[in-house]
Amino acid sequence: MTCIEAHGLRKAFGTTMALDGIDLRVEEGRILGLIGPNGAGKTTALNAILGLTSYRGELLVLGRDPSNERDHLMRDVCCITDVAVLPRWARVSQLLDYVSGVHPRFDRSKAEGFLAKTTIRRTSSVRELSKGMVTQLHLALIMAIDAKLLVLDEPTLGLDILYRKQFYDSLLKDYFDHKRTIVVATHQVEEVQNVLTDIMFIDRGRIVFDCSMEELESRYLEVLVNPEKIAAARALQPIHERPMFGRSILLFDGVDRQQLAELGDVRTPSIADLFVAVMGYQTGQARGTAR
Amino acid sequence: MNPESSADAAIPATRRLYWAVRRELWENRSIYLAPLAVAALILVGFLISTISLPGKIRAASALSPMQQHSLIVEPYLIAAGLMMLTTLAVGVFYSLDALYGERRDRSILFWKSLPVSDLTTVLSKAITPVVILPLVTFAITAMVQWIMLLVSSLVLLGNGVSAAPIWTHASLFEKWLMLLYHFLTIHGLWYAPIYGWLLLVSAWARRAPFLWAGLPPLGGRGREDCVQHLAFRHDGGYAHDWWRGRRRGVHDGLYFDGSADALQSGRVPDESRSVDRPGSRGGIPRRGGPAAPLSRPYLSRIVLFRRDRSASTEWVISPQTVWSSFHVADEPTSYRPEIRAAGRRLSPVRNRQDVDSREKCFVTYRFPRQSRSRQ
Repeated sequence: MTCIEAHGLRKAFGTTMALDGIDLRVEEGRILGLIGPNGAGKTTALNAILGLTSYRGELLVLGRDPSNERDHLMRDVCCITDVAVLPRWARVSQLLDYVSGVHPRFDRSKAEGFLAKTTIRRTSSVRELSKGMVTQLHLALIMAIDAKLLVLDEPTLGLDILYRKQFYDSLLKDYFDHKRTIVVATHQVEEVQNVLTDIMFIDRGRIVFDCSMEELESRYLEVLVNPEKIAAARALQPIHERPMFGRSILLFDGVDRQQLAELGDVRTPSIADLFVAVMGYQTGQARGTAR
Repeated sequence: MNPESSADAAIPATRRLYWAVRRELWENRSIYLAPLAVAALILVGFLISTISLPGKIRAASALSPMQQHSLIVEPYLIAAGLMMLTTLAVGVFYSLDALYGERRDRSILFWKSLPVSDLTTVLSKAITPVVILPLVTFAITAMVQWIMLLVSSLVLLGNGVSAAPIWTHASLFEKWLMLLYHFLTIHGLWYAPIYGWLLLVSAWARRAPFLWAGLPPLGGRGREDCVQHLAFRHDGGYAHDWWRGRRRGVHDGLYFDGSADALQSGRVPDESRSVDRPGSRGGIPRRGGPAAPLSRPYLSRIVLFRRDRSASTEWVISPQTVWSSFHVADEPTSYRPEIRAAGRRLSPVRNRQDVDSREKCFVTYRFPRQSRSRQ
């Protein structure tokens, strides 16, 4: 079943196109990483999916139109759009009361179970909690919702490295069950590398790259080349090249592994390297081949 | 659509509204704390004044029943008047912040992530000043008056003076009926258009709703209606009638025609003259009449603003976050956040020391006017 389907999604802020005609299709049970620099349009895209902003174009989320049916949609969708959005005046117990009061799919005992593993007291107000604790609290509330789609927008922004690791671990362990769909937007590429099933690079309101992790592993290869073989390597048309300790790392798209093994050590590129290559930021020999 | 999702849509709309209103009471504790604080002040003032009470009551026996009545009733009216002023002030501040505050602190993103519609939220924010606040202050005022009566009775009995005159004249039960009526009509219905206007400003303003609220509602019909409503105050309201009554030498000009009989008759006060107006009945805009600022068109506009206005793009974050998220080494970006601390611009953030010494930083995202071309 298709979870999110968008055609020609557009959104302008003044003269700037935050979304410039996005086509998107996310199937059920995938973990999609929306990756791009600040201001690329990730948040705007997610806000459109969540019914938090107006847009032009066609968009269906779980068969519904988010801009007009946000309240219905939120029964099946849960999200963390920003770590600092829990109301500061609220007490932990009040948030639990409120969510269980309005959400038909919220399992209060589950949320209490998550909180029991933390040091968060029921009587504390959000104001008194540290940033990491606020995230844990928000996560406890969200994870206790039996939703079909989970949307995360920079969920680890402002957290220290320990919490970041924990965050994605508990996401996989406690939440993801192959029926749920997760969309996560981030510009911190390294930390989602092992979590995703699909990646999508977004820049200036356009999707510039879109592929599944399996495809990425079979298509893209990185070779560490010694200077004497560099000319031969360049002849194979790498999509990106960067120097490293006197040698060069070349990134290839769809070149045979055997052929590359003769040039040097072959490995699968990290998403971060691919991102840099595709975005064409670094001064490599070749320009990013956005498709 | 999906049978599963319609089956567990079992939470009725009224229950969601109930929780939305509770949320308002949690968030805005001034709805009951401010009246309680004023009530405490009134009681302290009254306690001090009871020193002279026995002498006053003794002297009052020589006065006419009318003069006796006004002497005894006055403190109860002053207490009620102060509570009403408090109610109005709380209502105004509440309405102005109701829909702006959640955008300013970005908590709107959390509220909107739950299955509560914008209409429910806006209704809860309209019900709070129009229904909840008057009821809460009525209850507190009634309590204050009851305590005042008990305290003065005890003081009088302790001094060997009969408390009978104050029980006769204060006639609290009747007074409470009038008070409830007053709170519901004046503070609920009458002021509703003002609260409506403030809510609209609160839902619409991107900053400084206080400044915008000072403007009369724009657009011919809206403005006319609000002005008309403010004009109600001209011949209505406690203070004015009371004052007019005094000037005429009629000491109890408040609701009654001044004859001593009327006091005991238990007649329901007639305030319809203040509430009915062309285009409105009982303070509520009549169908087909001008669109008052809490009518359906107004409410639906507020709901649309709640739906489409996004959270503030400026928010406060810690220096660690600035460093971990926004320092330039991160990656080039087509739109950079502007980061300020203590009024100084920090972005682009290059040195850790720049941010580390700061207590908090403000981050604003701005879209560039023209997108840069890629080098």
